[in-house]
Amino acid sequence: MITLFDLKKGDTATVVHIDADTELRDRLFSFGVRSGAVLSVQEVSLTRQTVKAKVGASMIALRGSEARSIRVIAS
Amino acid sequence: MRSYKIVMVGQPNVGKSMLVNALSNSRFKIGNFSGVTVDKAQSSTIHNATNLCFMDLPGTYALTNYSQEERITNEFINEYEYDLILNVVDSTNLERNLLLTAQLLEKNRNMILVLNMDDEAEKEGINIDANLLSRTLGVPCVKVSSTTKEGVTQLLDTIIHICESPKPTYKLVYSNTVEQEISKIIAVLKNKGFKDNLDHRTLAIALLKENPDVFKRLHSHPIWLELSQVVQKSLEHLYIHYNTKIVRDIFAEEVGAFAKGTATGVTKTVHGKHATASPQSITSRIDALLIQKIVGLPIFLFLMWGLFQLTFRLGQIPMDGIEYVFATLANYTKDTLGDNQFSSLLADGIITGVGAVIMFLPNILILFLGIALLETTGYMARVAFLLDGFFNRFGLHGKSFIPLVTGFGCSVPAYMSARTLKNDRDRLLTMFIIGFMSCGAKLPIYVLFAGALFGVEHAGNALFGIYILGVVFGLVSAKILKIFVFKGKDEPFVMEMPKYRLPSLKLVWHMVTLKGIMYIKKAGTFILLASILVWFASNYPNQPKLEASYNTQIEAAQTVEEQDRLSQEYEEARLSNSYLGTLGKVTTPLFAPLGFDWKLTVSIFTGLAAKEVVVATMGVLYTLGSDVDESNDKLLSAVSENVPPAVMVSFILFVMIYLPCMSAIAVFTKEAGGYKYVFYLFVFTSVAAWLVSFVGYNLARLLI
Repeated sequence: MITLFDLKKGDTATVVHIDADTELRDRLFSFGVRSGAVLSVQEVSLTRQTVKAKVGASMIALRGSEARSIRVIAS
Repeated sequence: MRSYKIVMVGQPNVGKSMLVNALSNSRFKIGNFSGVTVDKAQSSTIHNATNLCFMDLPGTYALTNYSQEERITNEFINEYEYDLILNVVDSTNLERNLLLTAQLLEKNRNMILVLNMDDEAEKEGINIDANLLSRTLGVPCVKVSSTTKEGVTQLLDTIIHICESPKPTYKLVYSNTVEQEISKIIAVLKNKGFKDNLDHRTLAIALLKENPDVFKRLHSHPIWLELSQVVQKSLEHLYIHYNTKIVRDIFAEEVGAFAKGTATGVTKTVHGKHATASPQSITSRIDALLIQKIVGLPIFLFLMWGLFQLTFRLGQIPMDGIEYVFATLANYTKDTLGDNQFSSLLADGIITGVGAVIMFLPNILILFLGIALLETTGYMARVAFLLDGFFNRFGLHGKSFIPLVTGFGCSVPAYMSARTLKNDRDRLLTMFIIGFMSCGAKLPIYVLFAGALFGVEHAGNALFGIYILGVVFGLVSAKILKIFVFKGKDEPFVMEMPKYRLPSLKLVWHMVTLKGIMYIKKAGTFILLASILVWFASNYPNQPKLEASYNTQIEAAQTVEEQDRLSQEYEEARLSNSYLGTLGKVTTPLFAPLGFDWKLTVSIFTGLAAKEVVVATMGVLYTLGSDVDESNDKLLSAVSENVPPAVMVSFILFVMIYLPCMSAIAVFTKEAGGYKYVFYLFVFTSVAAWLVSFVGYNLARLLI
């Protein structure tokens, strides 16, 4: 199973499951990141420490470790 | 007159503060980065003979209790008295905004939904049917644009109308599955005739959400026997249907579906000629360059470097003029009033002291202009994105950048903006190293010493170097503190990247002038007092014997040079016996290993009042009694003559690290949450400053 972290710039994928504690899950949820949401990766920093993704009409930035907790299927 | 209290609630970057501006014409600090409005801010207006008081709550994505903003907002909504919730939403991002709206609906208060930034939505080809949305939510929805002020009057009318209407009961409708279980529980409560201050539906939802308070309350009630079985069954149904046993997730899923369904139902998107020019696509294109993995960071560093160059070079032009004006004023005062104690107080104490402060106003205004632009354009969030990978290595957070860079302006707002960090450890760690980011008030000291050390033409580069060095020390300290003091799990890094916006000139002008006024106020009150105190401490106690003995000697002197030499000698002797000289001399042994003489030691002490006073003190200490006619660069040359280069290095380092000023310490205490942290800060900064200066001093002595 791949995660958001494994996606390349320009890839689009659908969230399958979020593997995180309540705090991170709530936070992701408030940005619209939940099962079934479609994410597209817009930029990845040089050392892949941060990822910028578009979800719905918002653009969010996450840390690599957080991106790893979002399991996706590429679409 | 009728009076209503309205609380404004909305997610960050929805233009809430801008809307208050449009509604009430009052001034609010607004920015594009999450959480600039940290404290609730108030303003009021009169519309149709009704007084409307707006309370602007911090922007928050959800009513959870993780960050301080969320806690403040949640507490306010639940506990305070008000007449109306004004839920401000970004029309271009309705679905996500409705997640918060759903939580607000559950509060059952009078509410209006404001579809803000309607003009922007139109540009993006988004058309929201406000009437349909009103009917769906049961809440009046009004389209507004804060920038063009369209819909503002209609909104004010609606506000008054709703405030005068009875309290409604909104219904957040869940999916059929959940609604079925809710009605089963309601049936039990109804059949048993259960009475509570909460209505049956709210109780049923609370039970399904496994709300511990409600469980506890109903547990001791006879109804519990029957009720618990029904709730148990209902939950089991939900578990099977949603394929999870986490109720939180089930309801999150429900709210998500509600937001999505509602947003899709009321929005018509027109893809047309505007699509490529929409703010959204412009933002993506700018981001493609500004946060690009290879060029993003160099661009950022270049912008920062440019800002510091501008601060110094452009700021230099009016500085010379201001210095000239104050020197002339001081001379004129002495000429007019004659040489006496009062004229000395005015000219040497007040005018010189305040002049030294005002002189640096141009630098500070330029620096704050830069920071205001970073904030209002939305670039600040990109910087956090670019830097998190780097900062995280030092135990900091990408968001730490905001307070840290604000620290370059002033530590006071920097400590306050550290609230965007919701994890207490991350916040405290950031606050401990904010002092390393040299504030605007330290700039005069650096300008003076960098000018004396490297000459005015290289001072810009030297200044940049000094700031960078402070950052390096800060990061190293952060790492050390993270390893030994602030151990533990990192705060999740999930952050919105707001759309780029052209800064509103009015807003930037307001932010910069506000900083300027604050600086001048500080100069006019605190620093003025400190200047008088320093003047007093350096002129008293009276030393008639010394004066008499020198007066005889000076009268007896044969040449003018001899007279000058003697009067100079007298000034020094008098100063070193003054209160200030005594304080300096008593504590000098502490600072001797750093190369400080008593004058520098005294300046360090007065710097605790405000960093601006350091230069003012040196102005008094180094130039008293010297030729007053020599106006420009007087202090610079006096410092160059009296302070060896290695000591300048040591002094710069000490100033860079030691305790911030009293007002900053006061804010730090409040934000850190206890006096013990001030003690830690004192010990930490003093020890670090002393050690670094000691090393710097000895290295400089070897090299120079």
